[in-house]
Amino acid sequence: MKKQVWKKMLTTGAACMVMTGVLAFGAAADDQVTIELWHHMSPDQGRPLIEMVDEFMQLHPDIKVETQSVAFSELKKQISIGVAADQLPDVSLCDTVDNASFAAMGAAKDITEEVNAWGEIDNYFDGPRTSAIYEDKYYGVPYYSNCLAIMYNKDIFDEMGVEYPTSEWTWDEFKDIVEKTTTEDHYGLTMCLVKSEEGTFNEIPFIWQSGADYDSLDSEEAISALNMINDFYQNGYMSKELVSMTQADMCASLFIPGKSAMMVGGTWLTANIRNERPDMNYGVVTFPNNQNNASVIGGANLIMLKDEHKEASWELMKFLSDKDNSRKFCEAAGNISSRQDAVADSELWNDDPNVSVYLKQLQVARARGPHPRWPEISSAIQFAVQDTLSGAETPENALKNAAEEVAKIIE
Amino acid sequence: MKKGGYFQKKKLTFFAFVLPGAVFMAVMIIYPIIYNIVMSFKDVNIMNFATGDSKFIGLSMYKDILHDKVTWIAIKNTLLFTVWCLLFQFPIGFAMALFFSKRFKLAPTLRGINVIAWMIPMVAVAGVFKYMFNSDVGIVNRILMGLHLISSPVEWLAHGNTALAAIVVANIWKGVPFNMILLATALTTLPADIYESASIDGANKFQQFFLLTVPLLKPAIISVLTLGFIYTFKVFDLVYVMTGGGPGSATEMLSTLAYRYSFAEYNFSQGAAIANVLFVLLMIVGFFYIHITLKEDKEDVG
Amino acid sequence: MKKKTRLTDKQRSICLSITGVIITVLFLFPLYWMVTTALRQPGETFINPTFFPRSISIEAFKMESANGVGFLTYLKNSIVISAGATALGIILAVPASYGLARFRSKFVGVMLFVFLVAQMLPSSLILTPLFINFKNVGLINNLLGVILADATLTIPFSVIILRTYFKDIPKELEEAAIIDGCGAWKTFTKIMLPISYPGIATAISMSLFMSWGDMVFSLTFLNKENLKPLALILYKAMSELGVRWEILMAYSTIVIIPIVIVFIFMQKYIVSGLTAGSVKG
Repeated sequence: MKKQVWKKMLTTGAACMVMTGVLAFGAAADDQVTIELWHHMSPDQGRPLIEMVDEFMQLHPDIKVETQSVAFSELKKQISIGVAADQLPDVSLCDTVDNASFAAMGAAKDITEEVNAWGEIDNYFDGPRTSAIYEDKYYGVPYYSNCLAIMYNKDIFDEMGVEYPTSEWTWDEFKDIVEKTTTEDHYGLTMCLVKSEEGTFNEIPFIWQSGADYDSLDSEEAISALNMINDFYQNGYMSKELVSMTQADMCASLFIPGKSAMMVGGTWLTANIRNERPDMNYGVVTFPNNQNNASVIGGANLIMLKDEHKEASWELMKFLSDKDNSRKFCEAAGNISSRQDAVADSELWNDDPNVSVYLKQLQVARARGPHPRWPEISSAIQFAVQDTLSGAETPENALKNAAEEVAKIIE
Repeated sequence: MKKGGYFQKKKLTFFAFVLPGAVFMAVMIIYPIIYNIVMSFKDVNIMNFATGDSKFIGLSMYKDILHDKVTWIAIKNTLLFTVWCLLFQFPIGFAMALFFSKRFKLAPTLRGINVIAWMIPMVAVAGVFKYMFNSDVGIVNRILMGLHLISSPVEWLAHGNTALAAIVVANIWKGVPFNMILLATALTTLPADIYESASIDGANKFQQFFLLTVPLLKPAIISVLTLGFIYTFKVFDLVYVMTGGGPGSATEMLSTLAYRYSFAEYNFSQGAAIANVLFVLLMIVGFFYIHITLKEDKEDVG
Repeated sequence: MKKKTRLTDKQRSICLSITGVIITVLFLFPLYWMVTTALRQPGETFINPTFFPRSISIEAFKMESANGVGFLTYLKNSIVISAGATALGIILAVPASYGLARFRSKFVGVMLFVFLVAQMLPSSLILTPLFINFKNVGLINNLLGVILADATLTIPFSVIILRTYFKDIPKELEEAAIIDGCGAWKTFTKIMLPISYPGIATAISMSLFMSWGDMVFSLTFLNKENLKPLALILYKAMSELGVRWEILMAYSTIVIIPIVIVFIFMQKYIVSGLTAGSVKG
């Protein structure tokens, strides 16, 4: 009997090997010009992109585009390993703030000639356009933009008898409302404090409003910004879970279910709300004012990573960046087009009472960096915030450490 | 025929058995090891990654990381994490192995069912524990409040010590059945007649356990502890998914730190240096393990 | 006198069984929580949890297909990867561990060292160099690459388990066979393998589950949707869906169901091997 069992195991093993062989080597080669496109969008937001790529392939039957979705948090790793092994996609989307890094790393290709010949780049907003420039050359084309502002739940404000904030409001009023709208049932504020670029993205507007920047993190101003965030957090005006939640997470679990009166929220979250709770009674207001009015620009650029199929790749990049296509994609995915002319055409951006606030906010929104070593600078900011919130450091010390780190990086 | 004589003489046969596996492993690991050592002696960063003209900096990357507070926090966390995990998962696993080695009807079935926990992929374990330890909607707070052990929700993953505790608990859960099944396998190899003569000699259960079971299981216990140490010490998926090393660097492990330096900050040499520190610390245990196993082998012959 | 206070064997067995069931239920609570969360209504996980779902829904199990690649493809990839890594691992690890357990040679230490070192390599140390190697031989976006990488985990593990196992088997049987004129290989296949199947079955199942659950290698070496295994899809869902717990738990449930099925099948061998005492020959 033992022998039988043994035989059975051996045959199963052999069968496994054979099957593995058949399946692993079964792939066939393709003669068509195939280019690969990576993107980091969630299924919901990726759908309009994929539809557009299908349309592109119909128009260009000689080009086949394979799209791959890579998790946002993985894209940097995939591209850096890809550089080391010379294994990259032809075209990829990347966070605007990483464009300079990828250029410095030699991953993103210089496409200055193509961009100039195309002649459309002057139609772009300045912030997104400069994010694609490294050492005076273009290493990308802005694909979409977004910025942060404050979203507020009107029902909660009505219930508490608090007036809706206006674009004139100050930090003091902001602090006051955050405190007032915190009750047993809901937090006053929600903002992303996670240890990734998303955290920096949410934190840096307050640093700018205070009058500081990434190269003056140990200043009184920067400390005042971190103190404000820390007070909100320690006093229970914000959920303690925020240190590990992405922006999509916090919107879905705190703002949409009515567990937070306000949220630092990006444009694309309006699309999330539209999908999840279309009847939600909320408003959008620009950030409160302190030394400066400031918000932050985010978004993604299209970068070319390989020379091999340069023409086909550029064809695709141009198609996706076309004025109408840009508008269509951005409206569907809840972003602002990086093209001024596309935005001017959009009813949604100009007339929707909530969405149009973002357009106003965009006027004072700044780009992070651009700096090729921004990921390290950003990391220093994230640590300063998280070390403060977890009680490991005082705000002053945490920012002093961060300032030292940053000084080493940018020297 | 002299005991062990045959197995001592047949040198070629020994290589025939062992070499295919050993060569495969050597091929798969030697290049990575060399690659990392070389990289840690150079300054490979975002600016020279593609061009490859990074300069040789000798040991200064190691000097840098040893002066960096975060390195020490990561070493401390990794050690704390490993010690806490082993401290619980080994005794609990051993107790369960002993319990389910008793002869009762459901023993084999129940022991088998418990092993399922060990087979769950780390990503899934991390996910379910992250949910259970959520402060707003997690079941852990709910149970503890129901039992009046805490009066208000604990923000497990938001504070350093509690976040570490949460990942320790998740890892113990996965580790216990692993300890259990290996020790249970070993327990079945123990000859029953030794216990019979021991109980005739008047040894009680405790004496039997410490004087017979433990010494007889020594090779298995060493295996289990060494493997447990190695897998716990280089933990990655669990921490990466559950806390990402946060808040701040409160649950940063050497493995997550190396990963972050290389793949989030593009400081490849720094990442390589941290990975090598982790590797060397693991090797110390490896040497210890090899040393005692080889010593035992010699005693067997003598 | 002592006999009066003692329970009968049957009573003892029942008491122990009840205790055993209680331990198991408590221990496996996280699994219960995973599966029942998956069965909750969308949105229910944002409010305070109840022990039983307020109502049952299978909404969360509707796995979205990306680029027309769906569940069956992911499942197939997981099967190929874990079967391949296990088969390769066992073929190399069983003879190696036997050799290391039985033969006396000054190389035992060196060889053992190789296996041990192999499993001490942190994943961040292996990823980039292996990626470069694999790229040079065309193993990127090839399931074989992940199989080879996973085998670097399963082989050392199996060697260490099986080596202990072989050492515990008395040598007399083999020595008798050798005296009868059997060669080393024949002794190994005819005498040792048949009586060591419980140990090997344990190594097989553990290798299967190790490679089934791997996320780091497939995350690094595969980026084509039609090559991704289930565990990777689960990881991706976690970074994309975040706090949609019912969906994440549904994905987790989907990932573990095949494991449980295989386990039930293999358990017969593992458990019978563990309890029948057949190792004693």
